[in-house]
Amino acid sequence: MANVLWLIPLLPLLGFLLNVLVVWRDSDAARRERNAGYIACGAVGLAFVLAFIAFIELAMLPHEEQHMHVVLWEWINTGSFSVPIGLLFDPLSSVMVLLVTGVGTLIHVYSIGYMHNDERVVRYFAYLNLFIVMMLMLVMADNLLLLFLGWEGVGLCSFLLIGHWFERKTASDAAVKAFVVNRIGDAGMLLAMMTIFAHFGTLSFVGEESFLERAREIAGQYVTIPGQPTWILLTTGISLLLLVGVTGKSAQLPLFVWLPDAMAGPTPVSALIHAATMVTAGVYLMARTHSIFTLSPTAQSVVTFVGVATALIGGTAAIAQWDIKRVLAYSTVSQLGYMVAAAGMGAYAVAIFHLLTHGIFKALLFLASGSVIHGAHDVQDMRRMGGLRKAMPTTFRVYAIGAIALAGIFPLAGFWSKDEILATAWGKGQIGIFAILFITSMLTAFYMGRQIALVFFGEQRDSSYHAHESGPMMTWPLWILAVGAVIGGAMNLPVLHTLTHWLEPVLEEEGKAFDLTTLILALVATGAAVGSAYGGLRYYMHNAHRIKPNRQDPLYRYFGDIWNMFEEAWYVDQTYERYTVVPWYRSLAGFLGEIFDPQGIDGMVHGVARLVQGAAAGVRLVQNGYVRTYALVFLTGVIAIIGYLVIAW
Amino acid sequence: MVPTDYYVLLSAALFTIGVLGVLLRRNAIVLFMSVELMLNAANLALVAFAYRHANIDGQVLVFFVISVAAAEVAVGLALLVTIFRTRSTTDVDEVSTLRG
Amino acid sequence: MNIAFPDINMLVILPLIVIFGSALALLLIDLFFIPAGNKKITGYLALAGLLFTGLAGVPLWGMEESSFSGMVVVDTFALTLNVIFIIIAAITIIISLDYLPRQGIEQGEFYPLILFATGSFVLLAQSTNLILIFLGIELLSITLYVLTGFAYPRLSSEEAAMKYLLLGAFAAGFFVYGIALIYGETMTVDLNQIRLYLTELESSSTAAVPGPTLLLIGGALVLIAFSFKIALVPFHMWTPDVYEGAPTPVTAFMSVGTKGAALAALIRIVTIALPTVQDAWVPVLAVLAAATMIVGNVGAVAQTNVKRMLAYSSVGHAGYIVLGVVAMSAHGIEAFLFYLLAYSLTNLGAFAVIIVLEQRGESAWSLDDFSGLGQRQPMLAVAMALFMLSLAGVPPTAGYLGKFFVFAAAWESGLGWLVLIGVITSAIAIFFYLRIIVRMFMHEPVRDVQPALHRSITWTIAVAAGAVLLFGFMPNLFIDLAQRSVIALGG
Repeated sequence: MANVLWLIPLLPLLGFLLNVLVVWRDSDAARRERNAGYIACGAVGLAFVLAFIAFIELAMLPHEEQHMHVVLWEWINTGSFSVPIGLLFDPLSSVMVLLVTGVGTLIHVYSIGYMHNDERVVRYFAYLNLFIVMMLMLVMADNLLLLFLGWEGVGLCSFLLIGHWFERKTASDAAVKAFVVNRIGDAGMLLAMMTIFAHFGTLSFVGEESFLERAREIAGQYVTIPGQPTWILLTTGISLLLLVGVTGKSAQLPLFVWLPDAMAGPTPVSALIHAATMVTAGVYLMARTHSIFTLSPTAQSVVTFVGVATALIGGTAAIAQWDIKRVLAYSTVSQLGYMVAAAGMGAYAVAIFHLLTHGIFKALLFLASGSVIHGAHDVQDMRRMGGLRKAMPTTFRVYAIGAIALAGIFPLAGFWSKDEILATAWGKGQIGIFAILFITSMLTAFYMGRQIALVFFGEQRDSSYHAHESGPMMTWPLWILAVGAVIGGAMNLPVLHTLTHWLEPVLEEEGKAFDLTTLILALVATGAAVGSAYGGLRYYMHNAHRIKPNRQDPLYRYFGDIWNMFEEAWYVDQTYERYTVVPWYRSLAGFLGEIFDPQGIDGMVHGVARLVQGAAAGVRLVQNGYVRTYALVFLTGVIAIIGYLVIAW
Repeated sequence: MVPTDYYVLLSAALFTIGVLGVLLRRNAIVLFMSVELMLNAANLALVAFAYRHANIDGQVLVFFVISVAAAEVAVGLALLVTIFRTRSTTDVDEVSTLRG
Repeated sequence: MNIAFPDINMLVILPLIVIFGSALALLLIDLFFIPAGNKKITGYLALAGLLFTGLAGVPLWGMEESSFSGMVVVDTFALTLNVIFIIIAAITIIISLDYLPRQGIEQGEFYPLILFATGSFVLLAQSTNLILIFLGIELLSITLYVLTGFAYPRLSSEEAAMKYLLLGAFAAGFFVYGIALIYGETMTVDLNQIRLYLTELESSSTAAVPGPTLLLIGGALVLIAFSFKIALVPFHMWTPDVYEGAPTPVTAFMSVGTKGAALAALIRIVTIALPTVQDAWVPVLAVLAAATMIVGNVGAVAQTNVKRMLAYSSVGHAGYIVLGVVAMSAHGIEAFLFYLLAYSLTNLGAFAVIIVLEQRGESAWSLDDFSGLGQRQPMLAVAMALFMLSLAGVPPTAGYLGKFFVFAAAWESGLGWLVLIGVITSAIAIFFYLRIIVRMFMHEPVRDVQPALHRSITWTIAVAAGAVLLFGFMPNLFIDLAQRSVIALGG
């Protein structure tokens, strides 16, 4: 199998090429659509089968030798610097590949139903396949440069797919925003690569000569080469630069602003790219390069802080949204914060565990929300929904399963992974972090309860459309994912630690012993989650009559400006002055709003854009078309250079 | 016997005058003359140095510079004629539609 | 009578003989035998001339020889560059074949002029003597003045030529004066002998002997003249205007060829003659590179005219490519060669797409022309997107690897701050490259543009796009060559 590993990314690539080169030209619209869907699904499905076979083979190998590595060709070879195009299939890659191809296949199948009668459906499936190729490159790369290729590739596909319905202005704006914000993260990645290359002379992940091993050796020796930065400074620098990349791709503070807007894309895209796979690339990257992060306590705490803060902000923002997809988007931001926080605390296996379960149940939730949107004729505002339980029984059931899983209620998938993260924080004695994560988990349960109540219970508040259930092409993938969301926790049960053990060759972590504290924590967490979810559900069912299109949330009465801050993800408008809340509360909210609010961050982006545009105007001003001016600028340069030489020499 | 340094200083002065001419004048023909002055200042310096070092290379270069300058002016004047045909001016400031 | 002839090996200048010979012959053939209105034949003959020039390089392959009293050298560095220059010239000619008659400016001299300019590139890559370099630069400049003004009586073309000529002559003044000062200090115009002079000076240096001030100032003036040709800030002011006004194939040709040739000569000068005074000029060039990256990319943000946007972008790329020289290392030169190849293919491809879309008249090159191109001409749009991504430095394109190599080389040489500026400016650059992609794929067509897709230009675009991808995935095809070139330079 190792020899044909390259088939896994090749199949979706073939699907992409077939769709772009052959199917595109088909003049019969119906046949074109059918072929495009079948080719795309077949390609990814086959890739999944292959990945599964490879996974089994990997599992058969003895524990220490669990890794397959195949070098396709030397990508770059400049003597001292060589980078292969090599694929790596080790325990960490294997679970990612299975997630990408497995969830990917289901989402492809779902898309056949969802994108029915879309005029650009061939393009859609082609991009989707290309995305799978790039994502596989990312997780199977055996070196950082190839990983970066996939990293940029998924960004590009995400850009193209968010903008799929570009007639809607929000879509093309959101696409550009996502790409540009991600470029900031990429700059960090690029600098991290330069630093690693300059100090270790390699970007490889594999073998004794990899920079991961070398970093460990340098740290082990505790010597400082004169004139070189100390290893602790070096690893901190590399880690923080990598973190910049992670904040971009995995939508962490302060770069998370692109993700909620990215919901303008088709819903299966949100499920695949902006929930299950691409946004988790940052977590994967941290797990892959964990030996660098581990060497720098400073970087670790920064990572933890970023993750925890993002989790809280995302969670609070999610409870105040009206758009069904934006709730899920902020929820994703929040859950990604969970994973990053876990990684920051050194619990990489737990982070990957949460990544996998989240990938399954969040994909389920997004697809189910897509089914709702589909059935409700493109309505996304939850104020216009309500009572859809009757019209869409299947969607309701799977949505409820997804919501319970996300809320972290026993025994569904989310419970196990979230509980592990909480237990880690508790076990490390970081009570503050534990408290925030705990509050966030209650928020999570609350907003899922709220959402279920708003969408499925009560009476339909807007009767202008006739809701209907989606077809089997869409419901079947939902059921499969629902099963996953129920039993996904079995991957890593507390005593068995199957996943942690599986990942041990890469992550070198051992499962925590199960003790009474953990049990109590689990009980408390579940109790709190059930309570919050039930509270959210009851409150909104009870107050259903107060919910009208374009009206405020019932909770708004109690929270006032803080609710606004939540709704705008901690943005506090000037208008909050009008409402009376406890004064210090207001100033705190204002302060946090100043620091964290996305408008501010947007403002920063805009500010940079304005700065650049202002500078550009300056350039244009000097460029006034007169030869004399040009000669004068020329002469200024001459005088400056000669002056420098005369003075400095 | 005039020391060669004086020639070099003279050439520097001529060069500066040429540069200022390019900066200050607007008539294309005067601009050409200023550029010619710069080139000839360089030629003067080359000849002076060649004389000082008793080395022929500098003088060879002078010949090349003279011929290149002639070619440049030929192209320049031809351009000037075509521009004069379309715009009836030799003022370079008036030919400034490309900007920004 | 016994005159000692210097040892002359004509083989060394064989490519020069072939290309200038064919240019001269073509000028006469065109004048006497090619009927007006059928000047494409001249273009095909020019392509044949380029082919012969390329073939003339074959017997020289692997040769390391200098002749004409050390004025001309042939080595792998020069031959590698020759290959790139010939590719550039060939693509330029192919994309001009239909463009010239469409714009009503078809004159037979166009093709010989391209050959002359290419010949001057080759000359610059091969010379190791300041007189020859001066000749090469001037030959290059004068042919380009004519080519820029080729679209007369279109005013923008005339104006561009006028500005280019005046400022070019101005820069030439500084160049000659710089050579004069260097000559005054060292008594020679030969690069190797300048180095000898400097090393002797260094070894005999006492406190009483002043440093080579004249040489440094002269060297600075020469550097400035090169900066003008390469379009480094603040000597770049002519670039946007000239690139916008010149006929589009000429712009494409200038934007890549001139840079390559001028940088090749600059590399010869700094590696052969001035390595001992590195500390003086490396900071200068580094600051120029930084300013160039910033001004070029920032200036491009405000442009709505695609051709002018690419002109500013080409200023920015000059900054990146110079990083390879500033690094002063073997990796740096390799990176320079790879970047030149990647940038040439990408930029020529992008300009070819613009030519396809260019309507007769001066109003063209608006962003609107690209709106909805993804629907009307999907393949053309995909190729353009690929070129834009390559210019922006997004993998898996050749442009990305080019950037990676120059950054890595600069980083190795301890120029971290320069790399930082490079990374930030390329993040800014994504704004305006992405704008075209968004226009093509996420907008409805604004106006009806009939792309002039002829078979030759279609193939050129396809091959360029393919090559951009190919070198993105298999840069080793070229890097081996680049490495041997560096060895030839003694790097």
